[in-house]
Amino acid sequence: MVLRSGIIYGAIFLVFSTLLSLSGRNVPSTGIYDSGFSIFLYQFGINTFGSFMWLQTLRNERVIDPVKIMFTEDSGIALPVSWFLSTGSYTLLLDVPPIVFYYYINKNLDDVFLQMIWGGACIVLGFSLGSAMSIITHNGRWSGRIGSGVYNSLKMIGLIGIFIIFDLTIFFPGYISIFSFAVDYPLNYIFPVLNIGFIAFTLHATIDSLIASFSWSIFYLISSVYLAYFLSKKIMADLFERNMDTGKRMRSNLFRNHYSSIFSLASKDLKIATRDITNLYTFFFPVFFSLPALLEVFVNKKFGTFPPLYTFAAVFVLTSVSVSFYSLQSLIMEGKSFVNMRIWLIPKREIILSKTLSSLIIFMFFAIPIVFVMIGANIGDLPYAAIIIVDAGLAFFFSSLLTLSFMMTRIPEEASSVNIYSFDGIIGLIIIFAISAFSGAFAPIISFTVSAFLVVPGIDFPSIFLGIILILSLILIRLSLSYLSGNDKAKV
Amino acid sequence: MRIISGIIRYDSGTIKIDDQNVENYDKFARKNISYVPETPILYETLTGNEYCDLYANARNADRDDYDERKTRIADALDLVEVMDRPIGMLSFGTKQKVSILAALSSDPQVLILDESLNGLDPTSIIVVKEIMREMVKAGHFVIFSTHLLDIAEIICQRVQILDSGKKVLDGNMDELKEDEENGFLEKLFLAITGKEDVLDKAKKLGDSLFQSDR
Repeated sequence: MVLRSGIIYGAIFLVFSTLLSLSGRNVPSTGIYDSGFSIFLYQFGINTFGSFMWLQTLRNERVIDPVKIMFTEDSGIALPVSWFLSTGSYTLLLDVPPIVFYYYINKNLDDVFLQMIWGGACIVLGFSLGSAMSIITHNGRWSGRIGSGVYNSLKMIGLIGIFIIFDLTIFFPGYISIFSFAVDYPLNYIFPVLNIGFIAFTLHATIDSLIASFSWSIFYLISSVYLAYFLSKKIMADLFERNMDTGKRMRSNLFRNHYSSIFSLASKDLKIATRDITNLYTFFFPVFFSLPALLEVFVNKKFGTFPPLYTFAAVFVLTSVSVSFYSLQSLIMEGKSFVNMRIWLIPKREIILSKTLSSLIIFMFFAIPIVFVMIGANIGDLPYAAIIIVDAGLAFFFSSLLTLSFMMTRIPEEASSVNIYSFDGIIGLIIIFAISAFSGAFAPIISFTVSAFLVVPGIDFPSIFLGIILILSLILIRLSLSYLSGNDKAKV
Repeated sequence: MRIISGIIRYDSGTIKIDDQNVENYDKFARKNISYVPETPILYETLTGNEYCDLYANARNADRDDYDERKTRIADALDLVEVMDRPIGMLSFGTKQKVSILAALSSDPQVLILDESLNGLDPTSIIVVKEIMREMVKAGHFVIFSTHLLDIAEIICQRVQILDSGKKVLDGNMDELKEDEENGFLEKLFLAITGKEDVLDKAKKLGDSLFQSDR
């Protein structure tokens, strides 16, 4: 399994790196330098982030507990070697294309050796920085307060961030490498990673500068190896120490959170969604689909002349897609545990409301920044952003109530689990997507039609449109809640 | 048992608690009846603590003394040190203990254990048995389903035996026991179900299988 995912990651790295190197190869003089430097920077970033998350998983999931008898407390080798074999080694494939292209263009073996040294150094330095971050978060004042759900959310945000950086380096390769030249000699040797361009991607004019580059590179490589060893020992000691004081920590946490059943069930859904990275990926899908459009807004400013109605329409497409994905996922992630809903005699109304609430929170987490970014790139009118966010939230709420109500009718009373096949197969899934699309777009369509014919002096079209949709959504939500309550009472 | 716990709706008949008909049975069952299934069905990514809190909140259980009850029962079942670990990391027996802890912490009027002692360590079985006895003394009801008749013989006040889905015996343990020694329930079961020869057959099989080893 690990090998298969490693091959997939490695292949992706190789393809991205080759594409970036190819784009750099076509730019005269500085092209390969810019793209090569960007790739090494990306490698360092992904290793820092990856090692931090890997170490946090070790801590949170207590992965080391069953095998800790195999380790001695002062082992500083086990962690970095294990991480390198399972994760870090794949990023070496990122370095291959720029090194090959650089040699193909410049025929300079000295720089190739330097680049190989830095390929290794980026991995070890990334691991060291990730380890340091892990130690700070574990031993600092955040210790014990950050759960695996928060870390998984950080993981998603970090991944998005890294992909955005990667995409921006493709669009603007020259901007990032400016860092390397911004500092004068010999200070530019001092900043590791940022000086890769200066040290390893430049044709050395003199033997002195070549020797200096080799010396500094080897110095950084050895230092980073020692640092990784030292920090790993510290983390290993943490892992052993934590196992000894657990009893005391558990006892202090035996207190109950008093919430109503709906909030409690919604809170449970949020925890399940964020703690299992597979669930979180699914909740992220609708946003992932819209990411290229967002980057397009950043890069080309194509939406600059559009009225906010287009932003509104884009957000409602996202809303409808999100409702269908989230409704499906919020039930599927219950799996066999769905039986608990029956054992606990939770009325369908409460199940639907709790899942709508948890889905809405996740949706708003993604939707609010997206709307602000789109409005920011559009006409910069913040009041519209607030109205669009509220409208999208209401539309999501109504649409989710309706979609989940339909889905609950498809689950048999005696069902022992819920999965993708619980909703009448492909036909059922198509119906679910249709219901969420229709119910999500219902209020906007009515509102658009009415406001097209309604002319109120002194009030512009978008204001009438957004106002009507606001009132309409509230009415629809009220009606659906009454329907759900009546449905439950009828069955008792 | 699933009908009593409210999981399956009944088509006919009545359910009485303490000889009283219950108005709005779903609502009553949700708050007052705790059902512990044979296999623990928990949320693997939640911790034991979170699961117990969810259980109590979801069932609208009484909040009085909840924290103290949970802490004391967790201590007795030797669960305190694992209550903040994700349930997915716990063994089968520990998961079952968390399931029982959640059911007991919400102070149910009726506790239904559906072969729920399976997989528990001996200490925990003793603890659960004692808690069940004290619950009954305090006026609560415990319905305990088991295939282990010797355990039923020790802890139950009233016994019903089902054979192929039909009730073949219903009586108070004291009346059934009369002057019999331990193990009488097994003999009674075999007699009622017409399987008296099972003991002889099993003995002969054991003899033939291990004769050469003697």
